[in-house]
Amino acid sequence: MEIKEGLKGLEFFESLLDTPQNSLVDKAIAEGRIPIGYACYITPEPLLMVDSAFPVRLRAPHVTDTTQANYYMSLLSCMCARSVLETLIDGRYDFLKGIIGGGACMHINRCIQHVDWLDNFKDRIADKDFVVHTLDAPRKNSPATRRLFVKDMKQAAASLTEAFGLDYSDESLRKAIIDLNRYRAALKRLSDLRRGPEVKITGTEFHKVVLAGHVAPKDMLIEPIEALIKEVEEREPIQGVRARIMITGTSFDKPEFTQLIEDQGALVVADRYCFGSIPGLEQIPVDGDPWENLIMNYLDTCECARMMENSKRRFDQRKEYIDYFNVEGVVLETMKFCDTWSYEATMNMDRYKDINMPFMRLEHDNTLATEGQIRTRIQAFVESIENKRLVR
Amino acid sequence: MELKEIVSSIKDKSAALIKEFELAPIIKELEDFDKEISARVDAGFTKKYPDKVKKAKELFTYLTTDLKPIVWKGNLADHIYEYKEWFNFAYANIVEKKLNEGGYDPFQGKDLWKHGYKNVAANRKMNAGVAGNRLRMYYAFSKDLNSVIQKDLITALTHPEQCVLICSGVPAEPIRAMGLTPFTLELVAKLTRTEDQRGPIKYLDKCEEAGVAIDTCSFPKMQAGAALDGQYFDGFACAVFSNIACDSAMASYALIEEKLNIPTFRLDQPYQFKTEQGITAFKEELYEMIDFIHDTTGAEMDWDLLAKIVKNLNYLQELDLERFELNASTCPPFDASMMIGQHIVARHSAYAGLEEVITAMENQLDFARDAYARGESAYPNMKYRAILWNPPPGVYTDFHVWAERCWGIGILTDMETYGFTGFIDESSNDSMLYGLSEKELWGPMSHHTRGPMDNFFGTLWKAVEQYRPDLVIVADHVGCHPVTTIHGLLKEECQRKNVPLCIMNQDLADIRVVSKQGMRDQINDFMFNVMNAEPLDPSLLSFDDSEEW
Repeated sequence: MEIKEGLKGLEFFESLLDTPQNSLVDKAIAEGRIPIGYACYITPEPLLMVDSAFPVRLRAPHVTDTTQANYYMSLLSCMCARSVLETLIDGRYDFLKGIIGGGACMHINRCIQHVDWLDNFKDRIADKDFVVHTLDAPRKNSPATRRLFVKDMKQAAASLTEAFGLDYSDESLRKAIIDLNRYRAALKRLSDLRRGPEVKITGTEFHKVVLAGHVAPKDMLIEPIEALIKEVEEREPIQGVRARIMITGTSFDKPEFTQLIEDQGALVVADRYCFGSIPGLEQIPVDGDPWENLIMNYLDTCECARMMENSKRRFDQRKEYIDYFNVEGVVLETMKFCDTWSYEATMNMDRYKDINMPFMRLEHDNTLATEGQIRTRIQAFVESIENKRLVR
Repeated sequence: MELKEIVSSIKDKSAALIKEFELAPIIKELEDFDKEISARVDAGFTKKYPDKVKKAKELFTYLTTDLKPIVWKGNLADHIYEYKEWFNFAYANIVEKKLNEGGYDPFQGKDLWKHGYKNVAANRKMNAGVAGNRLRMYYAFSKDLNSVIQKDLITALTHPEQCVLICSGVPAEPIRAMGLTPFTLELVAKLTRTEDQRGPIKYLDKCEEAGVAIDTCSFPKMQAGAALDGQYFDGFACAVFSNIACDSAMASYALIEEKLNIPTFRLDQPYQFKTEQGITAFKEELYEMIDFIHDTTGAEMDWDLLAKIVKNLNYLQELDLERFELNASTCPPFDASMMIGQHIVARHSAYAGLEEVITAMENQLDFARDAYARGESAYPNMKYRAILWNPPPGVYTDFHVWAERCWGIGILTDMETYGFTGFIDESSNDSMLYGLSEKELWGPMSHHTRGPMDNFFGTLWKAVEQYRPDLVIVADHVGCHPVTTIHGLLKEECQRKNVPLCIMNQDLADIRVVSKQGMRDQINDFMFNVMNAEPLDPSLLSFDDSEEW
């Protein structure tokens, strides 16, 4: 794959990914804003965007060794959750004023549950200077589960109001939804530049922008994204693309991984994974009850395998992305020890066969320890896609 | 064939078979032996009737397994008693063989159920080495329970359209009250492991060959593998699955649903399931479940029948609380095989609240009260009171017998037993569903492995306070991520509370991961090095049972 020139505007986004307390987080804190950590897509971001709050998604940049977390969570657990716990223990998230977990899966739940015990947080929790709440995010979308979710979100909101005086009126939440919609619209314009035959932004570059949006105040990123869009539009198309790939699966927050895949000549045009942009670019309705709108959007669009009813529907959505982005092959990546995605990927393998879509199953541990093996497998996969194209 | 015809056919054929194999005289002799020698010492009898004892042992060996030191009950009378109990159900071994030779296969070619049907009463493993009153107490319970398990199995065979396939965490009571038979997925697990420690392997391999990761929990994987292998009966009316047990189970049901292709409803357990709003949400889900079953099958809810079942559940709760109290005493009358699992059976299984279960519990409790009054402990040589936390070693069903005989460890209760201790409000339909919701949400494993960590530790400390154990054994299933992810805190909290903790690695369904000797080695190391203990029977520290069933 050949790229004539780098994107100057990308450096700004890259700089935000090196450490959780990045320059924009510092700027926001200096302005008196309240950083609230969260894990998983199912935590509705607008809940943490009201008033002066801003969401910071928990991740673990540059963590390859999880010695302390291994003691607490054992080696037999999701490396993503363990890495996050390691980062929490190390104090790199001490700047947060709270963590709202999504009740997403047992691994990340347990990770966040440890916060109550950690020395750097437990006193602050007792002094009500730090709020921890795991949302009762349902695993299906039904009237009963929606009622519960709304109730629980309001309880989380009440805790944040009590601690930090945040305004959770309907108007305030509606404004947060509008702010998120604005950000999503900008990011979607960038995302859609990957659709056509002449793509000017790589999957790695896009991944970095999306990640930055998870870890910094979104309102501070809209202008840089608009500037980046202009720069991309003026760029020469990427040459030598051997295959257009969709990555789908679990937590995938390391652009180095995407780079590894693209170094073999594949171009990642669709990012259907946790920390990706799919889902996450839809507009949330603004009219009507903002609480209802919020949960309907997140429950309807959540494509994590934790949603127990929707396996077939999720696959149908993948088929839509395949058409939308003109995908030629799918990498099904799963995190080691992830129970839900293990079964989901197993079922999807048969489904991809049924629609004659080349796919590759890739289990990883959130590190690049097996970089060589992954590279070889991706090379073979890309070749198989090329061969298939020739046969056609 | 109609059920009546099948039963009648089996009875006719068994009479013929007993005649054909000349079993009648031996059965008669065994029955006479039991009466004659029930109060006598074995040694004298063996000397007096060596041929009869030899013949009985040969027959017993042929139909059961080789007698090994851990299995020997110390006297022949108890072996004969157990053989009789087993034979009453196990004659189906012979019957079924003959039925197959005649070309009739009631099990639709599904190996799992053939073996399962034979072994549903095969509780010999759990009672390896167990004798006397304790042995009779166990069978006092299992007799009536096994009859209802077999009844449900026959319904699933002959009228699957009357069955609703359910999983752990789905309350069976509303389904029974709608006149349908709840058929539990977990029966696969219980039957394959009871038959043979290697029983689940073929289903695990099947699931892993399909692509499921090896590190996911082997318990639901075994069930999913059985589904992929075509072992579930065709024609179930519908299925109801939940997310109560764990993420792994929840995910496996999606694969099973896809394979069986039957209408399926999902029950969603909230994260905060001990709060009023969480329980209410689940109750609302139960209403939706009832509507779903009605829409799918046409069955109507009989609220009067539900009220009767709920009344039974509350009565069983009283009996259960009495069992808990008796076993917390210095003279516990129940051993682990009678504590572990029976709480689940009585109040959380597909058989919860049934009359047969009440009879079973009452029978057993009568024995227990007598034993307690006489000062007869289930563990006469108990040196260490223990609590077993986490799901017990599934492929090592007589683990507690070994622990008792080798080290004098008496397991008094376990995590799955220590669940819901409340009563259900019977005053209205809505209050009954609310109570059933609360009960189910406190079901086995769920209230320890799900939700806030306080669910795990809170109940552990309650159990420690009530049972005053000398040690806590955590049967640490390597595939159980909710518990492996709190190892560190578990150790720290037990240190803080000064409770000796033994974390014993095991795998619920896969003996290849940790062998039985591997489990014994961990307990041995702990007892020698932490408890500074000496074994009661050093010959049991290490022995080869890798080829045993």
